[in-house]
Amino acid sequence: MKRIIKHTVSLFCLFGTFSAFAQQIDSAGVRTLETPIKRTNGSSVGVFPKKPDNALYNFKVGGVYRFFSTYSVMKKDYILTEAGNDTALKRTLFIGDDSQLPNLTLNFSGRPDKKTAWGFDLYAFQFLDGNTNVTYGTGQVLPQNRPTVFNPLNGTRLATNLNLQLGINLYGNFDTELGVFGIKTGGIHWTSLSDLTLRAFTGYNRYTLFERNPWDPISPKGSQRYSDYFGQGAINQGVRWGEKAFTGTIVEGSSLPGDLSFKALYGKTELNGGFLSIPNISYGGQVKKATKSGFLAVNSMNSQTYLDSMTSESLGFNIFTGEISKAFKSGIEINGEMGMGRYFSPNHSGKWGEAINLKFNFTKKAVKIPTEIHVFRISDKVINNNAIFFNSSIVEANNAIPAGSVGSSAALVPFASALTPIGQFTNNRQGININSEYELKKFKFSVANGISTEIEGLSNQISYGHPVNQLTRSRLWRWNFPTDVGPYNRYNVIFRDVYELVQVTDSAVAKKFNVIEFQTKYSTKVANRNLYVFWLSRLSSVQDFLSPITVFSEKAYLRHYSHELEMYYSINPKTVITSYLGYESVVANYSTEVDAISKRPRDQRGWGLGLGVDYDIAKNTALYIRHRWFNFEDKSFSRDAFAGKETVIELKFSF
Amino acid sequence: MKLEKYIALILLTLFVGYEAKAQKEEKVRKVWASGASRSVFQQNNLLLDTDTTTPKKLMSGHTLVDLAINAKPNDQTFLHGMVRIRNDFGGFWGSGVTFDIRQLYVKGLVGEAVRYQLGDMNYKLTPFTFYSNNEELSSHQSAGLSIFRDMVRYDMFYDEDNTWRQQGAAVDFALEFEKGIDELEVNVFSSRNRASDFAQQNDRVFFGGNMTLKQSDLFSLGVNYIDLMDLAGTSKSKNEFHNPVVTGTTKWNYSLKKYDLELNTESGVSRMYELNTAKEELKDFFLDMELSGKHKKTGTTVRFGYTNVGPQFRSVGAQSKRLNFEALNLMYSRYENGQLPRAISQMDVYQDASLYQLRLDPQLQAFSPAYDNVMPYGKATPNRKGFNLEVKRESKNEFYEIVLGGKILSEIVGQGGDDLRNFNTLDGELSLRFDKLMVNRKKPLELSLGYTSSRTERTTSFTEANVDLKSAMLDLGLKVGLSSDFELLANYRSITAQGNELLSVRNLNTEVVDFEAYSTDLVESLVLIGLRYNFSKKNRLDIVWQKMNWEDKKSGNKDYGINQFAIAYNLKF
Repeated sequence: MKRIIKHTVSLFCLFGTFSAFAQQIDSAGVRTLETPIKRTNGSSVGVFPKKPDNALYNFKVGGVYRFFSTYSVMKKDYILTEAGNDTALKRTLFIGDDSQLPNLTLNFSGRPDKKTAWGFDLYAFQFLDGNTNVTYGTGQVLPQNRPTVFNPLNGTRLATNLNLQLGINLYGNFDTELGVFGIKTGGIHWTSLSDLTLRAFTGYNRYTLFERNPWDPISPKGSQRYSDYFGQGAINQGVRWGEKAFTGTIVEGSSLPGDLSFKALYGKTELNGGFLSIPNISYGGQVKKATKSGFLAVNSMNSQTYLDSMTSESLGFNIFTGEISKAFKSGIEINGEMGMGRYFSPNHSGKWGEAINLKFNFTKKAVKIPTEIHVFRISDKVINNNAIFFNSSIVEANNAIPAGSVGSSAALVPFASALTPIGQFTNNRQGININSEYELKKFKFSVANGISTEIEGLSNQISYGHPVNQLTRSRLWRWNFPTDVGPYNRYNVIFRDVYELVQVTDSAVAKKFNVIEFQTKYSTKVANRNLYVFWLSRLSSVQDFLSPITVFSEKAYLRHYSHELEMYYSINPKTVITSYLGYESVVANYSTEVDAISKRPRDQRGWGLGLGVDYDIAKNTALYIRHRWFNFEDKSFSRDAFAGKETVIELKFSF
Repeated sequence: MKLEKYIALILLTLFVGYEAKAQKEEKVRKVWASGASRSVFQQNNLLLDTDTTTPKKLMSGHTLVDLAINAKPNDQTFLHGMVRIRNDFGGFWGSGVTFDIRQLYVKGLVGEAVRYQLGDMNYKLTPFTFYSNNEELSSHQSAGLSIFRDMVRYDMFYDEDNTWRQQGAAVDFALEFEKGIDELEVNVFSSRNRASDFAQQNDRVFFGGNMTLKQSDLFSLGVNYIDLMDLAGTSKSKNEFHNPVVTGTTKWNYSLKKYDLELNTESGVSRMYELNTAKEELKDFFLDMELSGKHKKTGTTVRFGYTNVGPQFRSVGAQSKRLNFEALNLMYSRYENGQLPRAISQMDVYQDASLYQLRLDPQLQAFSPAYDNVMPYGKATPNRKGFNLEVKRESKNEFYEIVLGGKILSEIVGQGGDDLRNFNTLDGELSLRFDKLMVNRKKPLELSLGYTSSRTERTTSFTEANVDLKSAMLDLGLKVGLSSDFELLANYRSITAQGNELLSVRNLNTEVVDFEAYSTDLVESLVLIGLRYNFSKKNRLDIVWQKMNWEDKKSGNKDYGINQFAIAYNLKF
């Protein structure tokens, strides 16, 4: 310290000597924060850089806040896990969303120039669990993990509750003489190719609106969500709808010669996620040619991963398809996709199988009642859990990471003969669906009849879901996706749903499936206010013989009927009263497992009654309240019964 | 550190709800953003058939954004805080995300005369006092090889000005004079090299400065002082390390009718000692002179220099190395069935940021004789004297640029005996820009050729002490513009080294206490092909494939190759 003082004093003395003859830089070269050090030749010394940093002037911050909470009361004990005799709690107050979507999402984006952009999101959870403290980090970090006074960098500190959801995304676009190209890299992008290669199931927009999705946007007007559903047949479900999450690099080209466009992907889907350095990759793409009234395309999606560090045992799948879309002047449209796919692993030879998905759409121009005929056939050798069909035929080799966890190759879908809604299917299946829509005054009808059959009889299990009280049921097991849970260990929890497995006591035969979906939408005014009524029924059966329509007798292994009625009444521009009534019954025959005590097969009844309100507090701000009474019982398997009520509050605003 | 963290949190909070649109300069901005982002993906494959243990195929990648908030509440104060948000490839829904503070500093102006900076800063003085020497193999690097090198340099705050990243404070001001002297400029700084552990490790600070007096355009005189020293009493240890270095610089410019002449000199002394220990004090001096002349008409520049750096000259700020040759590579750190450590290769030097360091080290660190045995510590390499010559010419139409240089150096004192090592280097670089000859071609068509060879030899009466080490590097680069923004890049680089050397083993006081035999027959070759799209001058996308082969018959390790495919997208804003 003495030496420092000594040298500093020397310096100031030197300075003082010169100051008699010196003056500060004059106003012509007045010193600023950015004045270059040297106006002269010679070596530059000191602090760098000498010029100010560049600035980003095109920068945006936006986001969404969503408070979500559920309060449920169970009137009966419901077994969650047989082994641990764990039952659902009588009362549960949960702040947060079981779909693992956060309270606050901030989106940051910048545009360095016209051709490039970057963006990332930041999310934060807030559980209001009473751990109040100076900061969240301090309150929710265990004492032994907190930084010490003398070593503040160690321990758990920033980002305990703070994280990125979709990651950091970089974008670039460039115009060339050949065409327009774009690149996306980095975090999660929502993207799709085709139904059989990369796409999420969207169905025929037959769903209920009473329960909101976390990603549903706020409607500009209170009742717009319901009027859109009535008028357009669909609601705005955000960028995720129909798309799959993909991280890596996506390169797109459009306006190419010959009306060509392409998309190439290299990276990971959720099924490849994880940080092991052993290659685990998905790749694929599409080349599309626009025609006068449609397009032609070639698509491919492939996945490869390894079971060992020496990368000698690989597993994965390939699928290649050709796609056509054409609208004829007669009013007939064809949308079709056909191709070949295979699965390979150390246990499977990797034989190729066919994948066919054809839709013939007869519009109003061609027929009085618009009708679509959908024909499909997916071989049992074809697997692609990134497409609208899922695997129910091949036991996939997996890396022992639990299903639902990032990097798990065990898909979070039912693995059995699955009873699915119209439009969604599994492999090892072929069938035909007929969809029609008709309008009559204030009514809009949509009806569909689906007939399908397995190609090979591989499984003696049937899986099915419960549309009535679907979300309520999934909330019984929060955050996780356990399998073989619930009474009799026959439930499997997946994302925002639970499916149930039933054993067929016959030897495995190729099962046949029938589904009738019927939806009616009605709009009118009551007391000069809009009223929307939606009715949705599904009548399904699984049996060992082919039938043109749903089998309503005991000849079916399983009969599944559900009916849901919703009403939305806009009492003023800001307020909508919502209501819901749902009923379902599931009946199995004696060719399925029977209860040890009652000696009878499944005989399930479930109902739900809901009331709620949507209230627009301000522009881009809305409050949604839902209250539901629910009840379910299996008259044969007596332990499988629950009843109660649930209140859901959602406050959402975007900025 | 805690204070920095809280300030960064406050910045982030203030930052939410802020929105900026594109505007022209005349609007005064108080807050704005800046930074950089990149996305990198790599797939590597180790080519070694006999290795049945090492995972051959490796894949990795990340995306990050360095987002800085700049605040200038008035003309006298400026604040810069930068946060790095990174997510690793393979992460979904937030897994693999890290947040960190990258840098934080304030700059200010006092009385429109004295400028200061506090916090993180990039600083340098002269090549003998405070200077970050370029890392090995960084010469003759054309566009293809620079892709990953630039990322490493960005991460490690290495810039083209050869500054060191420090944490401390700096002040500068200048005085003008009415007559006799043009200007006197003063730069002083102080930074913290090491924090006390409150036990046996003192706080260690690095401080110093420069005063340059510019008499006129013809002559300037400077003095530099730096000292790396322990602050006594900041721990229980009584030892106090010191390394003061004082140098003086002169610069003479003279313009003749046909030539511009310039003479630069720097000379100084250094001491290195540690109080209250048995370590001997090391002190020595150096002299460096360079005369350069530029022929005005042709633009040809000739530089001729002489250097003499004493064997005990120590200057931590100038002799610290960027590369740590004792570190283990991140990629294939061990290989072969015996899992032997894989020696650092040129591919690791270009890409592996974990091999680089930012802290100044009083030890003379290990170096790679195969890569640079002549001046491993830059100009301040101790125990060197000799001459260097360089000729450079660039054609007026920018078609070619040629640089030829050489050094003839020797030791000043022998190591382990009286006989001295001799060092000779030859360096040449030729760049040809064929597009400058084509009237209608605006897209680049460039070819570059670089060659460096060096030889170290010593003949003694003991054959075991003889030294003969030759090394050479050949670099060929090609850049072809396919369209206005699309470029094809190709590179070939070969590095060879044969012979033997006796490497000095030094104690903690950097004195030579022993020698270690070193023998090599190294052949490395690297081929690179890439496509580049330039969105703008600062933003680009590179898709690269490269293959490296490595063999060293004298090392005992098996030959191997590495294939790599990579995508790198860089944005700066």
